[in-house]
Amino acid sequence: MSDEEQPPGTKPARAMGKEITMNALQEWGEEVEDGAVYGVTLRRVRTESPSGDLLTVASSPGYVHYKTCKVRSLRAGTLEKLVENLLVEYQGSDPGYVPTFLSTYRAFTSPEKVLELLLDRRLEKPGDKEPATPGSPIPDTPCVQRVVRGVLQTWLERHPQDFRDSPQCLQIISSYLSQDSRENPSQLLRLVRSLEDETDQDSSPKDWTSITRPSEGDCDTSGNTTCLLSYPPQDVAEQLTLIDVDLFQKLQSCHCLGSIWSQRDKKEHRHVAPSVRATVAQFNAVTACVTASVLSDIQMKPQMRAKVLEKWISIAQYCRFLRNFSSLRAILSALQSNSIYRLKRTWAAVSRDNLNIFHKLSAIFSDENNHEISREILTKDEIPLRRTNSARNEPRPLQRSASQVRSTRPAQGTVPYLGTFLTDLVMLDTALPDNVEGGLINFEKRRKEYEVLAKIQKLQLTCRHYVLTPKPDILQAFYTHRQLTEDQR
Amino acid sequence: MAYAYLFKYIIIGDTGVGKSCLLLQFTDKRFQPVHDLTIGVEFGARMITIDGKQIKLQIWDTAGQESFRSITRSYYRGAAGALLVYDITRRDTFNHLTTWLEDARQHSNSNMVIMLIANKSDLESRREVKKEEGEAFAREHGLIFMETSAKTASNVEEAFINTAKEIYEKIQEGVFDINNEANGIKIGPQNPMPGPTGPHNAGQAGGSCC
Repeated sequence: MSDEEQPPGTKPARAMGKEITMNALQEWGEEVEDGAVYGVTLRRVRTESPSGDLLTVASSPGYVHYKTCKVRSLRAGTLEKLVENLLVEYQGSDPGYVPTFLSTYRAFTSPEKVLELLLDRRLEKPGDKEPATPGSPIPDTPCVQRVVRGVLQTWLERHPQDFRDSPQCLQIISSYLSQDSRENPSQLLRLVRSLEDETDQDSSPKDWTSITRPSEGDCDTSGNTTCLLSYPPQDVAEQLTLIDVDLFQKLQSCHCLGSIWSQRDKKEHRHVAPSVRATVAQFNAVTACVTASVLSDIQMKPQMRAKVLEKWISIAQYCRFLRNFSSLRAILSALQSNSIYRLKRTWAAVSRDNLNIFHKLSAIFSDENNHEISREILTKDEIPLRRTNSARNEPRPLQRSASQVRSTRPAQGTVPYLGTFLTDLVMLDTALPDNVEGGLINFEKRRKEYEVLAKIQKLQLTCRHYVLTPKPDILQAFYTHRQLTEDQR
Repeated sequence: MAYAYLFKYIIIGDTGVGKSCLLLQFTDKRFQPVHDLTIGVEFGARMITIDGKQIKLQIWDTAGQESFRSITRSYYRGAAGALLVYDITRRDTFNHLTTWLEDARQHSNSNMVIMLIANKSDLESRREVKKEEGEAFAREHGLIFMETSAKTASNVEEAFINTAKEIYEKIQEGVFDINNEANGIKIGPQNPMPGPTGPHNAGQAGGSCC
């Protein structure tokens, strides 16, 4: 494949019978070889200096040089090819390959199998000096071993949970590294050690969760809901956010994959995707809490009930300030549920200001254009919302938090409502086949899925910007209430 | 595109019964690459013709969100039709129909048309629920019934269209308040009928909020 230099300002030129346009990328075709299908694209890249060509005019200053490169990316392959391609693409021309593979491989294989294939090449005869031709197995050379270690390091760094779930994989890596006497204790080894220590200690839960989660039969049986609402809305929103942030950071994005999450109700899959289940459980606990606080006291007068609604609207608004779209949606969906929605006299007693806020917040989750607003808001870099001067009798807007939020700008944390991503991933899983002709694993499907997972992972990273302090009494009030509603079910 | 009416549907049922597959099949997306879901402006929508009138169906898929119960519930209220789906190869999905139905009835407007869908009819050899059982359940609860295969497309068109016909008939009979968008029906822009008025209840978040 020839690389081609073009003088600047040249209109699309013809090369190999295809038009090279000014687009950075152009589909070229497919290459098929044993056990793998590659997509080929032509990529125009700017070059700093022309590589010793004869076009002296073109090499004058002020001219921009482009080079057209042929780039192969794996579209489908056997598991062996897919694992081997990790080595090819580690620092290769398809930077999306390694993260895509590591985020999605659980849909088609296990960490043990990947590790076995990855390390297996050590067993190949090192005597074979043949250079790697396409299709032949990558030989075991010191250079390749370095790449293997690089891939392992990326895996351990980005997906430590894989190894917490399968400690035997850590042992395998550990013994692999110990064979390697040449290496000094590396970053990789340190990673393995720290994960091993962690598994030994059986990673302890965050102290605030252990303090406040109620133990069996430890429930105060009366007035807990009122108790939760007796705290300032801002504080309640902050504590809900604290819980949501913790759950979201612990979320394993691969649990969201359609092929994993949509199997959760089948008998043999009762334990899949615990990190998503935990998120759903918290979401439902919040809606249950809202519903109970509004409806449980049958005697309550509409005016009083309206005050409860207003309180929740205010909490929802603070969730919005905190960019906690999970609890925000949980509260709103409870308020919109038929059982609360139909309380006409109660709603009539809610102040106009609060209704406006409620409508504005609800508009975020409009289904228009496939939930366009709620999707876009997740990546919007925004100045923390100033409260409309309308809501009276409420604590002053974000006095404490505002400083916190402001100090973390422009990096703000965001907790999304996970359900939209889950539906997208189920849809992708339904629409795209797992395998293509010849039984090869359809890696294009995994790339599509990774586009969604990458969004989740990116948002997870933003969560380190949250600065929230646990308030045990509020958490206690919430958890106690949660326990009660679960018992009533 | 101009339409006389827009009907909103919701697809419900246990996980893995084929809800997304039904939607993809009906909207002709099954064998097309799903380019970018997030820009799918018309995602889940399709035009059909009933009685010479163009009707747009807008379908909410709840797949993946079944466990967020309040979300599914909040969709019911704005839906004119619901497809309640079970899998003929998994009896537990049939056993859960009562729960789904109670939930739907409790949280929807009373006129919502519910179609019971027995999906995966192509997997006859693995069938666990007889067709007669489905029919009996539908009869008992006043639902329309149909066996479909989202995989082979068998009866998929019919399921969506028959539901639409039933809604259309209800409109003709004057059962639906078509001026209230909360019922999941919207009159098309070119229609000479009076435009929809905003919901008069204080609690509604304007239009077809979810």
